[in-house]
Amino acid sequence: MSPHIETDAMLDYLNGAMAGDRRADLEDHLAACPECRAEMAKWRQLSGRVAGYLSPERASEAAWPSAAVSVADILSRGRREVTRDRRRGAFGRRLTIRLGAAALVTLLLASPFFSPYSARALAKVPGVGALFSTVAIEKGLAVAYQAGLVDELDRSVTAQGLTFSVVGAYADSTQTAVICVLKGDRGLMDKLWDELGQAGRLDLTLSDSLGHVYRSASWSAEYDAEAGEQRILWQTSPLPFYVGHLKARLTIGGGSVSGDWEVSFPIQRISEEMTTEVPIDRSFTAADGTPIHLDKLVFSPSRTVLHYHFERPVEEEPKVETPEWTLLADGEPLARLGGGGGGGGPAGGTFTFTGTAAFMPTKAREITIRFNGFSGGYQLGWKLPLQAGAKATWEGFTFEISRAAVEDGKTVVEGVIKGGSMKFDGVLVTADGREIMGSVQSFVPDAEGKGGTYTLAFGEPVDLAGTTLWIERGHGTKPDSWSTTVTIDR
Amino acid sequence: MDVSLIDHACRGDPEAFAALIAPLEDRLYRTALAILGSPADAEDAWQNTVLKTYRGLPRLRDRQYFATWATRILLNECKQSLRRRRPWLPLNDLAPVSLPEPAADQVAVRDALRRLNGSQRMVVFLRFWLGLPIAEMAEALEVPVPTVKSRLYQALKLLRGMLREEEES
Repeated sequence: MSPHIETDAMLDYLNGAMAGDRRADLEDHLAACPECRAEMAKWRQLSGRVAGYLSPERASEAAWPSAAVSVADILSRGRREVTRDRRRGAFGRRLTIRLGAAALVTLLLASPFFSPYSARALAKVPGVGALFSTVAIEKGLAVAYQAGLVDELDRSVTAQGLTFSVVGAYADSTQTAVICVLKGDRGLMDKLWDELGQAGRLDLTLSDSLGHVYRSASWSAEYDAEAGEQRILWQTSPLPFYVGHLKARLTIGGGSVSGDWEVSFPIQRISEEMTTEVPIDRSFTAADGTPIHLDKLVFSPSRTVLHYHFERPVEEEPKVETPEWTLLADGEPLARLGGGGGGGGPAGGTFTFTGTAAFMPTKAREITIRFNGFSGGYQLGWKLPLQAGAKATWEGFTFEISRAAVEDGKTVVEGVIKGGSMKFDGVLVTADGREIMGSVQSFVPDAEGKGGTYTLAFGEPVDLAGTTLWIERGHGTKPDSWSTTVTIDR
Repeated sequence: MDVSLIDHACRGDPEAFAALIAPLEDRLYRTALAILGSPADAEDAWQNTVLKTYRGLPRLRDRQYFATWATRILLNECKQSLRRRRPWLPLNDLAPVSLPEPAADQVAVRDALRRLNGSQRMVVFLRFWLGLPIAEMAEALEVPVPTVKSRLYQALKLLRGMLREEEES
């Protein structure tokens, strides 16, 4: 008798994937072998059970739900497929300093072993796609989420047809992040989305039981029109250790709805073992004599933060410039994260600015901190009409539009830039003052690498004649170089 | 298959199209729901399928294969939806409505299905619910036949192990 039938061969046979001679041989063996027959029967029984549960007849039972939206509705309103619109708001102050000579110093520092992954891990990671997609707006937070450190919540309040919920919270020693959801009917959500972009209309604050109010350093929102949901990722500075509960208050002033929505939710800072603080305490001197001090590096599961401060003599109006840092982790640059910034004030004739710069989390052993010079504050935006030939120039940088068109429900702007890179934000402003965010769909550098051809895409069609393109760009960086390397004993 | 309905739908008649896709609506939506596990994601996948099918209809060469073609589009949408989820999201955590209410002797089957990953659930559904033979599954999922077989057989082995455990306990 031929050897017993392998499991995969049995499954081939049962699932119609066996033919011809192979099949005949198998059937011959089955006829002669009770063990294989018994085994085959077990597989048949399994298939039977699964098919019995999933049979098409069962599919028509009332227990199964149906799609909530009719085909006619989908066709009439769903001209574009489900996409996620995003908006951003950011507030920050920047300050000037000038920098000077180069110096290279190596430091050896010991620090406790740092492992950002906790035992809480995957068991608590929520399977809700919406939470993850909101968290993933910030990549450092996504890493913390991956480690199972973001808490999934469900605290909500409903009034005036609007439901405000807190669905996720995360607190470590470098930031606090809260993920909220606004939900309501389509008409309300559309109006609210427009209002979200207007300063002062909508405000989100957190407060603790001692009455301290935390304001957002930055927020990002996305609007899932089909689901009738707006999801907001709200970030602020780290919480003091004693905070156990927070109240999130959403205030909407005027417009489609107005009032306050408040929810209370628990929040816990992740354990201290997951953060490492490495003091640096090194200084260097700027070209104009201003000292810059590197204070410390803080490593948390969601970011690496450089703390620094500097002083300058008080001037009439401090210029708006920021030190540009690069952090290398074991030689590889760490992506810069939003957040950071800082503040300062005059005291006794000098102005002290304390700043932080945030980067992706890392477990690297060697961190090189490089100072690249100062970047100017943002140039105020240029407004360009959406027509071929519209052009803006500034100090050797040129931005030109060669084509603007509405295609496939989107607005597309193409053109050429010279003497710079695509590091700017583009926003369309319609005749009635609405802002539409866009993104760089492609950028083809030119032969010299000093410019190139771009395509910007915006998620909606607009009336080209009445809409302007607003470009904002930072000053170029005045190059400089100073670096220091910190070796961490892990 | 009502050819005149297809003709009307191809010419952009939304009512004809709605009538054409209506018989598939429940099955396709529920397939998406069972594979993706979340009503919101299933709704997204279903809506995108409706739109893509509607737009692509004039290009459909063999019009009598409308149902298979719409199924393939839906499965692609499910695949994309699964890909958007990062690998560490436990796809085992299905929302309660994602599978039919089981009869008493079927609770174990439902629970075992929940413990499969998304790709495995998909092949099990295609095989035992839509009843597709392996070659058609490969075409619908746009993966090679050996890949389909290995996913399906792995799923069946896991199911058998889980159901045997449950029986013994």
